[in-house]
Amino acid sequence: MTRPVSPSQRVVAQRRAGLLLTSPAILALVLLLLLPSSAVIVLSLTDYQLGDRAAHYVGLANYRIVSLDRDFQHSVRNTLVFVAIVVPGSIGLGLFFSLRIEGRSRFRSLYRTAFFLPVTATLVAMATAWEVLLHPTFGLVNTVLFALGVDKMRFLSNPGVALFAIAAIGIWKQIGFNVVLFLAGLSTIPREIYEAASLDGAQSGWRRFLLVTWPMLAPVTLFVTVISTIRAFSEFDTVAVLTDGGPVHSTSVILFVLYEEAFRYLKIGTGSAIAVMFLVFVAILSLVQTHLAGRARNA
Amino acid sequence: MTPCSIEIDAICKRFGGHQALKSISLAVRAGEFVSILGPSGCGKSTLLRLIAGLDDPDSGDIRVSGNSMASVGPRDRGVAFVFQNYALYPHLSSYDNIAAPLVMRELNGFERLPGARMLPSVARKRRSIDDRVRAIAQMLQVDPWLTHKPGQLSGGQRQRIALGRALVREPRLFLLDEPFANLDAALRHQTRAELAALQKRLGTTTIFVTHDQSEAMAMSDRIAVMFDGTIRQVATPDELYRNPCDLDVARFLSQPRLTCMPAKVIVEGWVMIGGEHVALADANMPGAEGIAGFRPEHATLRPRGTQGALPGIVERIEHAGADVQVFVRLAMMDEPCIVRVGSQELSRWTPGTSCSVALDAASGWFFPRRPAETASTRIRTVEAA
Repeated sequence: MTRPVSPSQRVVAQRRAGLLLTSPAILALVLLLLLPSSAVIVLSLTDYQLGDRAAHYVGLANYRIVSLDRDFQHSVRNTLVFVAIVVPGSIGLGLFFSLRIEGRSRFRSLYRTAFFLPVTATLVAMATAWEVLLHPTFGLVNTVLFALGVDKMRFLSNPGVALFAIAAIGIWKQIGFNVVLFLAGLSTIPREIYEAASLDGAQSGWRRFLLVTWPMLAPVTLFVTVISTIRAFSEFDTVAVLTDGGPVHSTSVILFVLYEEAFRYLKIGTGSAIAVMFLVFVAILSLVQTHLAGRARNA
Repeated sequence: MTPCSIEIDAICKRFGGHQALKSISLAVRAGEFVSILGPSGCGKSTLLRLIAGLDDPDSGDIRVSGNSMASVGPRDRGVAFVFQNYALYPHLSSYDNIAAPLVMRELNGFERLPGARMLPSVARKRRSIDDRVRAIAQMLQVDPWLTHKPGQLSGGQRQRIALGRALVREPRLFLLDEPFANLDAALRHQTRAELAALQKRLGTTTIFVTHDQSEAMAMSDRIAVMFDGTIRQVATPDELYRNPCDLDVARFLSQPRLTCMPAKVIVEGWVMIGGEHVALADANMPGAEGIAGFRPEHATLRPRGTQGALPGIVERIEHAGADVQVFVRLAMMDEPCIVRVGSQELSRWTPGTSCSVALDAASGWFFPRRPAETASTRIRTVEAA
């Protein structure tokens, strides 16, 4: 015979089971995410330098130093320019290419793979390929430009151009990911809705795009925007491999300054302060984007 | 718009290696309600899509009121289409869904911008669209849901919105692709009566695709029965019921199932079925071999040993409202034959009872065997039994 169970007992049992089932994930989160993040927050309040035996509590001094630092301010500006180019560029081109790929019947998976390749490939190797392509004397890009009658350019060593060259590579890096996400979104739109639209009078592809594709892709577009923004703000490796932040700090982005501060000048305290500011900023940004999109959808 | 007639002239359509439509011809009179009835995969939806202009035929021509549609796009055919899954725009409210065909046709890109309403000319157009949307909504009784999005509506409500979107621009031709397939039984009955009444009132030429014979029977002026890419018979529901042109059509139109038995015509009006001489008026080709077919309602149960009736044993009984379907095992048949009897007779025919099945000589059919049929039918030959 089973013992009668009161409702409150059942709730307690359910909670216990829930806790038990989520404990592996909680443990992993604590070990891999919360502990390191807390350590960085604690370090950002000290004057710790790599190799020191002890550290002193300095309050918010690191944050003050960093935010007044000219190099850091410069890197924030660079990052914003980079994001302003890469996010619309990679979303617009990603959507364009996914529409073109979706529209064709042959070689669809070939194109998808080709566009996705940069996402999976090792960036250091790919950056070397870009270095060759953009080389001032024998690079393919300059050869083509020269043939078109444009003067050869020093893409990576001209302070006025380098950031845009890095941004172009950033778009190339991000497009494949966006193409795959958009293709997945497009495949969920029923064919009948396009047919209904053409019967309803939306005869041109553009009108059908406005009436059906764009609104129905909205959730995917939101996701792609958030991911692309975060990835663009986190730009580091192309800069580190190709320009080392130069020439004259023209490509130095936030994470590159963070890296230099912490691992070249070994100032862990100020480096951690940059890391914390960056983390908070990106978190707020994605919350705002999600919130805005949610409001737009319910409006 | 005035209703139009349609002539479909020797239409062929191939998808890869599959010949979906094999030279289909069909004429629909102005204002007529024609159903295209057939099993799934017979090409009936393909035919409808060709009429709408959503696909192009490989050969043949479609004429609407005498004008060839070969070079006319879907938008300009004056055709409204109701899809099986309704294909409503999920991000638009019911109101905007119904208004979409008018907005797309009557306003240009600039006039559709939200601010353009300020201009008197645009405001006038918007008001005229609004009037028509509200009139349609009232006719279909969907006013309470105009602000809802399709995701918040039930299947029946969505179906009405889809009808509204189709009707709002007063099409001259109305095409429906299994519009009731996703509704439950009670709603299906109600909606089909409403649709038939609406069609009669508006007088719009209508082509209705369905695999449900009772739907086609209930609503249509005429029914075109399709099998395997060809139209087998075009007739009024009554004619189709009484006089199907071949075995496939007879089978498809029998509820729940046509009983088919190998038979040989002895003299005119008499066939030999499994050693019994049975009267069958339709058998008029002495010497011909083929299939005798009869519906459950065209046979009666008699005591064992009745002359001219087929001996069998009652296998099981299924209740169907006022009637009872008795499944009788006959000697030479794979499947039991079904006889419909009044429920008051139920007590006489308990499972295991010996009985005889007497056919109604005037209502049964004889279908002479064609070469292709021998392979496809699952009926054993008389000799094998």
